[in-house]
Amino acid sequence: MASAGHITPNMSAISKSRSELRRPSRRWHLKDRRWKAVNQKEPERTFTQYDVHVETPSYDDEVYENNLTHNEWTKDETDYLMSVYREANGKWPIIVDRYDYEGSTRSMEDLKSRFYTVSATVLRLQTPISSMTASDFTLYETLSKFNPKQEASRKQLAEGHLYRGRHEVDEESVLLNELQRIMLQQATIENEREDLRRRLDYPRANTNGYQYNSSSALTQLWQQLLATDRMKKNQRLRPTGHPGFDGFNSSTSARPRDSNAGLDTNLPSRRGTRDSLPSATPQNSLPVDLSAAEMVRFGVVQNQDKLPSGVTFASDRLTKPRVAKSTVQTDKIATILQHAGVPELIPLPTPAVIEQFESIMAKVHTLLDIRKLAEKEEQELKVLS
Amino acid sequence: MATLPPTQAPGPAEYAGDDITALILDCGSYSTRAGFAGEDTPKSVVPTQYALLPSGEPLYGENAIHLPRPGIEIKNPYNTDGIVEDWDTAAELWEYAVTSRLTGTRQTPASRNGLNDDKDQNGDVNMEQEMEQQADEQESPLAEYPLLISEPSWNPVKAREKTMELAMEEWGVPAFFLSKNGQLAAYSQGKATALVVDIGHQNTSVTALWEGMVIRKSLHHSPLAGNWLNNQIRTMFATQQPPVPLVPHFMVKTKSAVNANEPAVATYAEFSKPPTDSFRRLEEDRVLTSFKESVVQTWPGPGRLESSAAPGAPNGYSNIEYTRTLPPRPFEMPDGWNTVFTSDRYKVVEGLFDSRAAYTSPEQPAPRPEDALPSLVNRAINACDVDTRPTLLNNIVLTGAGSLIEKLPERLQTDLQTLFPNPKVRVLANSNPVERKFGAWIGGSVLGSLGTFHQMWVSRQEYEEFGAGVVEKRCK
Repeated sequence: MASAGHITPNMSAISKSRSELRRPSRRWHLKDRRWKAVNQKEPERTFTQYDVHVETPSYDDEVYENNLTHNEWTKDETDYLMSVYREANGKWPIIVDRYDYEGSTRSMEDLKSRFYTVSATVLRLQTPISSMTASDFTLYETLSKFNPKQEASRKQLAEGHLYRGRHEVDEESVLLNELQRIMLQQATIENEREDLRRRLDYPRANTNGYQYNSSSALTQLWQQLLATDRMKKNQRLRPTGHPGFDGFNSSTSARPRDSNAGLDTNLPSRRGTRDSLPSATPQNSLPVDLSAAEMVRFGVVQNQDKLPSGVTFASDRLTKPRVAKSTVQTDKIATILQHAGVPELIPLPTPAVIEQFESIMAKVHTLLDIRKLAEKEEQELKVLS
Repeated sequence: MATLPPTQAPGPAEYAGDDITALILDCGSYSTRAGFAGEDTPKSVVPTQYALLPSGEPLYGENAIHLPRPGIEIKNPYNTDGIVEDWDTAAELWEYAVTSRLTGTRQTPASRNGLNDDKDQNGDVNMEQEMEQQADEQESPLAEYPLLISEPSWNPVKAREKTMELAMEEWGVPAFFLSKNGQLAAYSQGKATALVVDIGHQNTSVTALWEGMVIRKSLHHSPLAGNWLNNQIRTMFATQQPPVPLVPHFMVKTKSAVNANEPAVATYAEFSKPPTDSFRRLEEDRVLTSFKESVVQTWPGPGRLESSAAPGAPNGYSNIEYTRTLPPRPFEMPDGWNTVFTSDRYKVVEGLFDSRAAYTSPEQPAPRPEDALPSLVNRAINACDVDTRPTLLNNIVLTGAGSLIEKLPERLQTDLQTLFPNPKVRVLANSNPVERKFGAWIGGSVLGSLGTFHQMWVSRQEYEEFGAGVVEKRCK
């Protein structure tokens, strides 16, 4: 067929040739024979980038003699350690597994300690500490701070932990569950408490009152307020008497600690003082020791009687007895008192005055009674005669 | 090196399977697996056993060894320890495994196939010269590809060097590498740090791997593996009442259905010269393999089979009594004889975990307690550094065709967790039986297709420079 040549497609675009690619590697060249399009450009792929090795500190005989000698290590063994390190790619579990130098029984900590010391020394010799970069210095620090004893004891602990018995593991899990339960409960309580606080304090003040939600914050607030209060003329606050709360030792008022001290401090500004309330302390014992002279001086009276409720004035006791049930009687009392020289108004109702007045009044009443009796007797005699 | 999850393909820069096309040869004492790197299963799986004709000619391959020929002996180039003994046969067998399915005969180059040559008067081409040239080229079919061979972890130095010599001298491979089974099996699971428990045919081995490197002191192996299990089943059959007749397939011509435990009604094949014992044993093993696949099960724990079922259980009520209450499994022999197996189907594997529970007979002594699986793992773990142990226990890779017994991974997990109550023990057993059977090969396939591995091959130049001793230095 003569026309065969004409219908043959142009193969140049897709014609293939057997090419020999050489894939470079460090150790060998793979002759890779394959079909590929002539004009196809394939990027050269190399795997040499994966040819990585770990670095070990390098030293020569002189450096070793001057800096790296060690009682328990010969140079040969140090060299051997470096070679094992390279072979094991710096993986310590492997290094300790492969390390076999004249039947030595060195532990991983011994090997690490030696290797790190050598590394640190070589690092220091290459760059003096003063001119090290930050990362180098951190490395140097880490290397020189290695403590084989600590590491060994840590390992021992780790081993002990690994081989714990069944009951210890159970106990741990029980304890963990317990802790979990407690914390969950704590969170629930905290939420409930938060909820309660929100309800109680709503609407909230503009300033966040929640900064005082711990007892120490409250104490601080109390101390602050107390300090400012002491500057003022009319004091609204009274120290609790507890140095822990007040921040100073209140010697002036040695009141015994009020059981409500904590509460008292709670909302001092809002509620005002609670001091006007009758004190819960019994009346027969004075809170302050006063001598008889002082009691007289300050007008302090120890009253054994039961006091009437409410507020009473001492002057009441001077005016009230003058008024009797009937006006005739009242006039009579007034006349007697006038006769006896007791003024209408007694300016200073001191206890002594009141006492005196009361004794006069008793005599007035007796006089009145006797008079009444005498008039009655006279009336009877008139009737009889 | 960060490991990728097994589901994720490596990046184009890392993958080099298409560029290198390495051959992976995973040789075991039961079967030899071969294939190209980058594939997910070996293309060629050949039994390691071979048939030796009375004439002295060896026959390889599945078809050859199962044919009952008069006077054939079944042999294995491996010894019972899983090490190659008969090197000449092993070399031939391996070559057969590679060439029978993978490389084949090479096509004659177009320049010399004679089609374009000038023809003589009769229209013929002078072929003789071409044939000679071809013969030269055909001498080494393996010379084209780098070769990665797997080896047991206890392979002696001599055997390793011999393998290297074989690959370099006889096959002329351009590059070679020798890697440990356990290491490769871990790679197949995408693990660089793992404790590999490989239950094979002759041996069970344990290998601890830390960041891709084998911890040598952790290497242990024991003979409690697939073959030992076969012998357990044989002993169990013999001690049953009535004894279970083990008749291989080739003996049976026809059979008819019989009720359970009744004598078989079958016609048996007649041989003028009965097959040798080794052949019969091989065929019996095939029956036992199907027995293992369909009937045998491991007691999944907790506790041993002999131990009491539960703390509150009545005295003497052990797990084994409990297994009697489970539905039994039937098994039919090739000649139609059939029965059901209850607790015995658990008991045959129990010896792997509890040496005292093993069946014993004069031919089969009781296994040593330290050869049991949990004890092997324990010994391997104790040889490793304390800091590595929790990680290793958390990455136990169970592989090997012998591990395909039902519930065996679960049992190993519970036994090890009892042994180490504190750290988290995790036994990873691929649910795909193919991946467990060919674990080491698949790992080799992964390794061989990695660009990063390209630097590791021992090249021909290096071999020529340093000799076979280089294998010790490079393949660690």
